[in-house]
Amino acid sequence: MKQNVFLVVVCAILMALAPGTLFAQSIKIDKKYGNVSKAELEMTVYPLDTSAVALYLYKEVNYSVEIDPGGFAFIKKERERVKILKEAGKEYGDYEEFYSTESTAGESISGIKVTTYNLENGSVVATKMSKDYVFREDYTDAVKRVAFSAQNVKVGSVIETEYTYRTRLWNIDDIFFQFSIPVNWATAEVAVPEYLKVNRISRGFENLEHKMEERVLMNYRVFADKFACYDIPAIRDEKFLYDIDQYRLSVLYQIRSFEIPGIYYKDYTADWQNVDQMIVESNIVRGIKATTRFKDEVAGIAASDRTDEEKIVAIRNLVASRVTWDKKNRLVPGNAAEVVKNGSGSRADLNALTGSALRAAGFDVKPVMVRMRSNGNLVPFHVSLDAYDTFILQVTGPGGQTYYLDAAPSDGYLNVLSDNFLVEKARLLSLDGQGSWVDLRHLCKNIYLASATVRVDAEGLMTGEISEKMFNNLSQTVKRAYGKASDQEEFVDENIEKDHNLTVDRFTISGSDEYTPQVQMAYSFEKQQEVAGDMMYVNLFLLNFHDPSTFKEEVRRVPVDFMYPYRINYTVNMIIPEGYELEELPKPAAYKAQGIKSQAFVQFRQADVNVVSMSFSFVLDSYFAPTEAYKDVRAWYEMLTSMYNTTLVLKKKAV
Amino acid sequence: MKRLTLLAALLLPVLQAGAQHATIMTEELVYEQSSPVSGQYSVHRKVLVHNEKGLPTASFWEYTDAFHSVASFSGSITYQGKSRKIRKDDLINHSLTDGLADDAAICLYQPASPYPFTVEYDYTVSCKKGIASFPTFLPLDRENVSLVGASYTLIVPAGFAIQYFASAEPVVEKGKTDRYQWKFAMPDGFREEHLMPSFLTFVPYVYASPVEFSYGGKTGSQRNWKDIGLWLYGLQEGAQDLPDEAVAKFREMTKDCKTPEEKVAVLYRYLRDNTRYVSIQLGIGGLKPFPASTVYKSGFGDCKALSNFLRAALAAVGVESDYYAVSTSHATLFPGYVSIGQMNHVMLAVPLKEHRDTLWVECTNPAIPLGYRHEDVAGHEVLLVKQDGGERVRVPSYPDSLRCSSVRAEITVRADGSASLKAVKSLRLDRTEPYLDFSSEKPEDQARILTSGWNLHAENLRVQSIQDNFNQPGYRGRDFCPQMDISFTADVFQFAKVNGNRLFIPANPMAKSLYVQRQERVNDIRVGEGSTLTDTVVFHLPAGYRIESLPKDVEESCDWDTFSSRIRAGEDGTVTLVQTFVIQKGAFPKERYESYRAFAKVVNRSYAASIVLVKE
Repeated sequence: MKQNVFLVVVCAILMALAPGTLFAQSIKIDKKYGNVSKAELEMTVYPLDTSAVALYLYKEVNYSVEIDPGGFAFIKKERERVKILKEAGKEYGDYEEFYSTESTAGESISGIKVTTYNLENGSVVATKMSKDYVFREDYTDAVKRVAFSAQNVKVGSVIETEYTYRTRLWNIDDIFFQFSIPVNWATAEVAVPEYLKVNRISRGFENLEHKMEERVLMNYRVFADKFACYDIPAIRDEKFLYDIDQYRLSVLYQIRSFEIPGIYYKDYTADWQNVDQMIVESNIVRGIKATTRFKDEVAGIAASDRTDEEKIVAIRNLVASRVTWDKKNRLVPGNAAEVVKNGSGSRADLNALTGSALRAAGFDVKPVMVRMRSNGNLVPFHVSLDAYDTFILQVTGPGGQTYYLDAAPSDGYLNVLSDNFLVEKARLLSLDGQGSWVDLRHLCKNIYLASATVRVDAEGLMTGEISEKMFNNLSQTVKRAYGKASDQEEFVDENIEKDHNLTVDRFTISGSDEYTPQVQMAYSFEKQQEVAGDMMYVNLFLLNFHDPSTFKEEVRRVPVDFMYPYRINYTVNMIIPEGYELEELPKPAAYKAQGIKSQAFVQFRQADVNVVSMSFSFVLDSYFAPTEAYKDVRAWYEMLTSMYNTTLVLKKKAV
Repeated sequence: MKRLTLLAALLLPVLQAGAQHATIMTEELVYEQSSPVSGQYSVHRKVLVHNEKGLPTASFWEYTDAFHSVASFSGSITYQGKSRKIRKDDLINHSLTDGLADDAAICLYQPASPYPFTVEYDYTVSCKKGIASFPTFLPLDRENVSLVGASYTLIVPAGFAIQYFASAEPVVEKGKTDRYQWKFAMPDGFREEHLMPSFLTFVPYVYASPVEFSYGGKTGSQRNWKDIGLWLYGLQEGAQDLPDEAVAKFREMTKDCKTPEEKVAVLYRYLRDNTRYVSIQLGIGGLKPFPASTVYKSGFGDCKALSNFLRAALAAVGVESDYYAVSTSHATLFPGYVSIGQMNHVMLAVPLKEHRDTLWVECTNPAIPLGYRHEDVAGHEVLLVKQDGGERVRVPSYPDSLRCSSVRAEITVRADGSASLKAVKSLRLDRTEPYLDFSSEKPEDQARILTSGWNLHAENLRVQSIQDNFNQPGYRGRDFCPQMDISFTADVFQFAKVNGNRLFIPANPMAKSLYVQRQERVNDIRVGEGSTLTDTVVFHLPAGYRIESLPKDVEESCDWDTFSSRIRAGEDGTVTLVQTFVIQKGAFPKERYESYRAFAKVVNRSYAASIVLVKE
């Protein structure tokens, strides 16, 4: 009976979708607060995503600007109507918001209204949330948290919420239309007085309707951007993705200027050259230009007969030995004297101190402003200082060689930046303010060299020695894993034995604690191969170069971000056990991926009657794969996994 | 103190030579009770940080709430003989709320300096509005940290009765005040290992509390569990009232029920459909339940509120029940130590006199089948909160033989290495718990959950059916065991390795390898619970191939595990593998770990084995 009612309801709703209204929402609703229909309450599943735990039937954001004696106030009114479809969806009845308690911010959240609608005995019953369930508390010293929960939430409930957020800060928050549950219908309006000029950009893969409207309010005009979208699928965070927000359907705003004609004009952003000038005038360049705090030590290094590279490293290490990185980024360095006295500082502090020391040693140093991959790509119109997260250094020696250096992390090196910094566009700035864009993605070659010498006994027990060398970003990845482990034993357990399914002994590692671009590991191992009767089956791929569980999901709705390009070269020599011979030498094979720049090659040789060798090479030369290429990426990783299962067949020699 | 310093000087080179990340040079806590409802404790702590991994030990943090606040603070960081101060303004205060409201916060500071450096803290914490327990003392709570010296001192008015549960006995001085002092050192620290006993077995600790106490304006006694029960019962006064319409509704809903358990089932269903878990922990609200009428009106509450609400609803329909407090992290309450602070959760116990049994009801997750005692309470000592006082009882546990999971799969292998899979995953007892909401997961999440850890890429996974016994009516007996069977199909495009004219088929694609600790064993072994895992795989082999080799049968065991593997080729072109892994709980000396190493080697080899086919 219930199923029949459901079908009727769904059909009625879908039939209401008139031809021509290609972009109208699937579930028709009256968006007015309080006008929740029986049909919305009777709905038990969302036809476009039957697994959704909840659905935004309607979401609305309205931005307006009020002018009062205190100046401009930015008002954001948020409304939403959410349908709870499954138990797990009940959490959408809980809300929390945060706002600044700084007096200059003038922030508040008010007008909280929450109503839950349920169907009881065939009638719509509304429960208004009592104000007793609104809690405000100090979240940190400068931030307040407001939390509230809808009453009477059940599977099947529809919850309507609205509240108003007010701020004196001149900022329009990013407006999102896509979330981890689907959206039936969303609208937004951003209405600003003619005195304010804004930049706008939209992101995401779904369709977003837009129109502009001009109104007159009191004695000035208001320009309103109006947005609408329908049937937006859910989106969720995935592995191999630095920043999901840049792929959500959204609109970003930036206030460009403020003008009262004939009276006042202020430009908040202009072009990158203006921002470059701000940087020159800031502590970023001042810090680099400042007299070094380590004059005598730096002079000693500068006067030595080391190479430029060695001097840069020595100076970097000198600063790092005196000031620990506190793991914070920061855009602008603080007071250098305080930082040195405290012995700890942010990334900006360390780079400023190192920059000034390098200059004192005769190097040419420039800041390179970076927006990290985890914060998304630079937004074209977001031309302001806070488009960046922090800075690193470009260092040029008297010999003319140029290096990029991030002095903060101890697992990096010259031209070996954290993967989060490998961006297409970073801003290089001369100390007099000449800026240009640089690409940080191809500064070094990431190479993984591995070799193994192995032997197998008659019981199929393979023993041998493995040597692994990682260079540049690959060494950084190993150093991080080593740093995370509580000790060497745990590192070997988790990263060698577990990952490669080996039993390891006599493990040594070098470079893990040093400021070098490489790490080397060597160890003995044993691994059981398969023996059955007169046959022995041996797999020479002893190292799991790619985790078989990578890209296991069939469906992915966002692109793939690879950490960095890299190359693997692996060779293994095996001594065939006494009394056995190789049945057949596998043919060489070369593979090339679709959709990304990647290839692999494997070749076997029988150098001697009782020695077999294999050489394998792999290259990945892409940073990014678009969503539509995911099936190719997945197929490629499956192919690699299959290649790593290549088995040599040995058989007992006839007597 | 001088002795400690000398000891430190002697030990420091030894300590630094090892893998220690930090050394706690000293930790001294002195608590002084100034009145029945107030006190203060001061802490002096000095940590030598050898490297970055020692930072968690060196960080300062204290919980604050309506009853506790950091009254004073000073500190310093010393590096290469130079010190700099840490001020109270450098501390960060951060709310700990993860629910609707909570007055708990954390006051913290994370030091940073080149290594090695020493950080020193001196601070006081005020305790007000009531004291039900004294600060817990656990100076060493992570591995690779050594403890040179620590002391815990309790100063209470003369004759003020206290109780404690500690790793050593105190030195007691009685006079104008009563003074209890414990001293500890653990220069080697402790190491975390695979299958080890609770770390409380190794580290120094003191749990202490007043026997007579006042908290949030309510006085009580912790002389025995009966008294604590009385106090907790008192907190519920007035919280049981329900509006008349609610009473009428519940009576109407249960009017056709013939037994108490039927009524419980109806109201438990009502709880699931009409309430949800939302945490509100403010002041004594951290211990006192919200009134049942509030839960009825709002539709939410925390464990105390929801349990109290169900109790009121059952009372309205003539079913008695008892609110009870439990620790979900410790199965056994500290022997000889009677303190509210040991419990962290509340549930409801419904006696079924006719069956001489009790329903232990989890009110915060009504997806849990009624009659099932979930893994965080089964076998745990709990405190029933009754009108005439508390009663300590143990929730019955389950025999390990019920704790099992199995997969039965039929895999049709094709000559190109691809395969089709038809499988049934069967779960019993607590193995069902991660699957309680499985039917409402997205298909891609269902696929991920079902094949997690499996050695294959499943494509087009379709769940055919989910059968369970969660909501069967009627009383199901004391040993009711939740069961779930999930049938599904999938394709696997690269299942068998094709190598020339051979096919290598993984004999058990569901198997996971056993973990073996590399280092030499330091601690004795403890296996907490037993279970059984069975995999049955029937392979349908492709035409045109014959079996070249099959993995060997295996029967292997160590002190706490047994494993068997049997594989047979059928006349009908099938091969059937059955692998069973049984774990038995128990405690064993550390020397027995070697037998486990040898056992794991054999098992992992069997799990990794292949069936080899060759073209005819």
